[in-house]
Amino acid sequence: MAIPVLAPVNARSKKIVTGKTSRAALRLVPDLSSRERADRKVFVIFLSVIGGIGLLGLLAINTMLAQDAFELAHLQTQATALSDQREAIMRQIDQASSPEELAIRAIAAGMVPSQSPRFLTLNTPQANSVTLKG
Amino acid sequence: MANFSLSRSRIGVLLFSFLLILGLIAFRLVDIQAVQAHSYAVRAATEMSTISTMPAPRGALTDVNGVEFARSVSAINVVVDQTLIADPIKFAEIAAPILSMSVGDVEKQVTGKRRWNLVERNVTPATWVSLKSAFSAYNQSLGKKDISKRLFGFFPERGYTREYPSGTLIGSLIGFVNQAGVGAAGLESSMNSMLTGVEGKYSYANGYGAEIPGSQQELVQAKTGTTVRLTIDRDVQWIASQAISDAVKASHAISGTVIVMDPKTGQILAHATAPTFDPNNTKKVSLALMRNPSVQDVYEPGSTGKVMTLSAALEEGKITPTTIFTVPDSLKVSNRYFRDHEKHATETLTPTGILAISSNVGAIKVGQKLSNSTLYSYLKKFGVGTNTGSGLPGESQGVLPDVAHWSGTTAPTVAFGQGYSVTAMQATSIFAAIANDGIRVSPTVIAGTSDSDGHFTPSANRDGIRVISSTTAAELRLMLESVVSVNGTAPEAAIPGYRVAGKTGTAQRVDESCHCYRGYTASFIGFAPADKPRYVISVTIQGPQGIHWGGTLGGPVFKKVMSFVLQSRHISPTNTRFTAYPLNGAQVAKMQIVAIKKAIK
Repeated sequence: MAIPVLAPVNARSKKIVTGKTSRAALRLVPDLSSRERADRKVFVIFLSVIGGIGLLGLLAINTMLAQDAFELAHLQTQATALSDQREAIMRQIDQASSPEELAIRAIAAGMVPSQSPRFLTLNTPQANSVTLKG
Repeated sequence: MANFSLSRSRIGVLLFSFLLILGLIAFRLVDIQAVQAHSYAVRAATEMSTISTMPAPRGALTDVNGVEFARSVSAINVVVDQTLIADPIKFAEIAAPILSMSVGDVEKQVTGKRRWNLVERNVTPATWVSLKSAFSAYNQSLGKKDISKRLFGFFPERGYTREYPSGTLIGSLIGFVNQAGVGAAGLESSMNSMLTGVEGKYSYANGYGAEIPGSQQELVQAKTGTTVRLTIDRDVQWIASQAISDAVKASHAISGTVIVMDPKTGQILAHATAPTFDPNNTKKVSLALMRNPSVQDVYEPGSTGKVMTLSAALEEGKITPTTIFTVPDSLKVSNRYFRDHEKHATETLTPTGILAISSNVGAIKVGQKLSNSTLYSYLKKFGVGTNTGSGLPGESQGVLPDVAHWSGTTAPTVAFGQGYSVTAMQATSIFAAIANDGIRVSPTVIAGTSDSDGHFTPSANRDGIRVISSTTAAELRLMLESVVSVNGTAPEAAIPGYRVAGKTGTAQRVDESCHCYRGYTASFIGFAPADKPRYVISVTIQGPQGIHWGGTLGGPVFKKVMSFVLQSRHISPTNTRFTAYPLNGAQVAKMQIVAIKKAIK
C-alpha cells in the first residue's frame, strides 16, 4: 500500500526521528554518590512515628468516647437516685400535709374543731362594728 | 513447539482453577449478601444487641385539687443468680433484716442452681440502696485471703408499683391493682385501659448478660398512662370519713356511707364508707369489704322515699302543702294494716306535717290520690330502678317491681318508701333533683383527664332531666325545712345560722342471710342552704344496734359534714327568713283566720 512517490520523503523523516530518539535515549542521568542517597533508617523511623501517633490518636479518641459513655451511665444512675429521693421526700410531704396529721397537730397546739360555721360581717365603716352570724 | 503446548495446557488448568475458586467465592458472596442477607443481619444483631421493654407508669388518680389518691412509684424487684452466691447463710443474715423477711425465707430463695430467682418484690429504692451498702461493707471487711467469700450475684429489676398515699380514706371508690399492675377493683378497674401506660422499648449491647454502659438506645419511648382528676375534695372526704366511721362505731352498725354532691353539676365531693380497707395492703381484705356500698348495695329507703310520693301529688295538683289529711296511727289497706312508727291519736296533718313527723299512714293517704301508674312513673323519673349513670363500677340500678305486677298492698307500701330498693347514690340523686329546681343531674366523680403531656381535658357537663317543676321543687324544699325544725324528726341536723332542709329515713332492712326483715336502715338526706341549695349530703347507716332513728344517727353526721363544707367553700348564710307551712289542721285554721282578718282590715 506504500506510495512510491513519497518514499524519499519518508526515508528522510525516518532518519531525523531516529537520530533524535537516539540522542534522547543516550542522555546522561545524574551520578548519585552513596552520601547523597536517602537514609533508609530515618525513613523507617519517620513512618513508625507517623504510625505511632496515628495509633495513639485513635486510642485517645476511643478512650474519650468510652469515658463519655461511662459518664453518661454514671449521670443516668445519679438521675435515677435523685428521682428516687424526690419520691421519698414527696411521700414525707404527703404524710405531713395529710388531714389527719394536721388535725393531730392542731389539737396538740390547743385548737378546737369548729362545731358550726360562724361569719363576721363587717358593717358600714361609719358604724365601726361587726356582726357575728351563725 | 512441544514446550509451548505444555505451557498452554498449564495456563489453562491454572485459569480454570482461578475461575473455579472465584466462582465459588462469588457464589458465596451472593448467598451471604443477597439470598440470606436478612437472616445474617438478624443473627448479627441478636448476638450483639438485645431489645428490652421499659415499664410505663400508670396514670395517677387525684382529687379535684391534684392531691394524689393513687400513683405509680419506682420499685425494685430483688433477684439473685443462685449459682454466684458463695455463702447463702451469710447472705440471708445480711439481707433479711433489710428486706423485712426471715433469715430462713431469704436463705431458701438464694440457695440452689437457678440463674434467676425473685427474692422480694417491689422494695423501695431506699431499701435497695441499704441492701447494696450492707453487702459492700461486708465485702470490704473481708481480707485478701477471704476474697472467695465475697457476696455478689444479686441484681435490681426496676419497675413501678402502685401507692395509695391516702390509705383507707377513699379505698372503696379508688379500688386497687393486682400484683400484675392491672386494676382489680374500683376506679382502678373500671378505668384500667385509660390509666395503663404504654411500655417503651430500648436496645443495648449484651456483655455476658449485663448491659454495656452507654450502649442503650431508646427505640420507643415509654408513655405514662392518663391521669384522672376526680371531683372528690380530699379534705371534705376526710371529714366525711371520720364522721361516718365514728357513727358506725358508736351505733355498732354493719356499715355506713356518706355522699356529698353538688346538685347543679352532679359532681361528688365526698364518697365515704365505713368500714373500708387500705388499698396498700389488700392481702387479708374480704371481698365484701372491697365492695363499694354506695352504688353496689341496695336498701329500702323508707321515709326518705316519701318525698317522691309528695312530689308526684304536688306536681299532679292533687295536694297543696296545706291540704288537710285525717291521719290515724294505723290504716287497713287490702286486708293489711299499715302503722306509723309510734302510736298516736288521730290527727289532722298537712303534707308538710306528714313529712315533718314522717307519718307512714299520712304518706299512704297522699299516695291514694295517685294512680299506681302515676306513682310508678314519678319513681322512674326520679331514677329508681335505673342506673344513675355515675360510671362507678358495679353500680346497681336498684329494684322497682313493674307496675303491672303491683298487688293491692304494693302502692301503699311504695308510698312510704318501702317495697322497692335504691342505692345510696340513687337516694342522693333524688334529693339533688329537688335541690336543683326539679332537674335531676346524673352524678359523676370524674372532673377530667390529663394526658401524658399534662394537657387537661375537663369532663363534659352532665345532662339533666326535669322530674318536677321548679314551683313544686320550691314548695318541697320549704316543706322539708320543717323536718329539721324542733317539730320535725331531725332537729340534730340543724346548723345554727343556716336554713337546712332534709328528710329522715328509718326503714326495715332486708337481711340477705334469712331473706327477711331484720334490723333497720337509718338515713338522713338533706341540703343547705335550703332556699338556695349548694350541696346535698346523704348519710346512710346499715344495721345500727339500739337507737336506730335516722334523725338521731344521721342528723349529727350530716351537720358535721355540711358545716365543714359550708365553711371550706365560703358559703355564708342566706339571711332569709323561714316561714314554715302549717303542720296540722289547727295551724291551717289559725293561718286562715289571720288571712281573713287581714282581708277585713
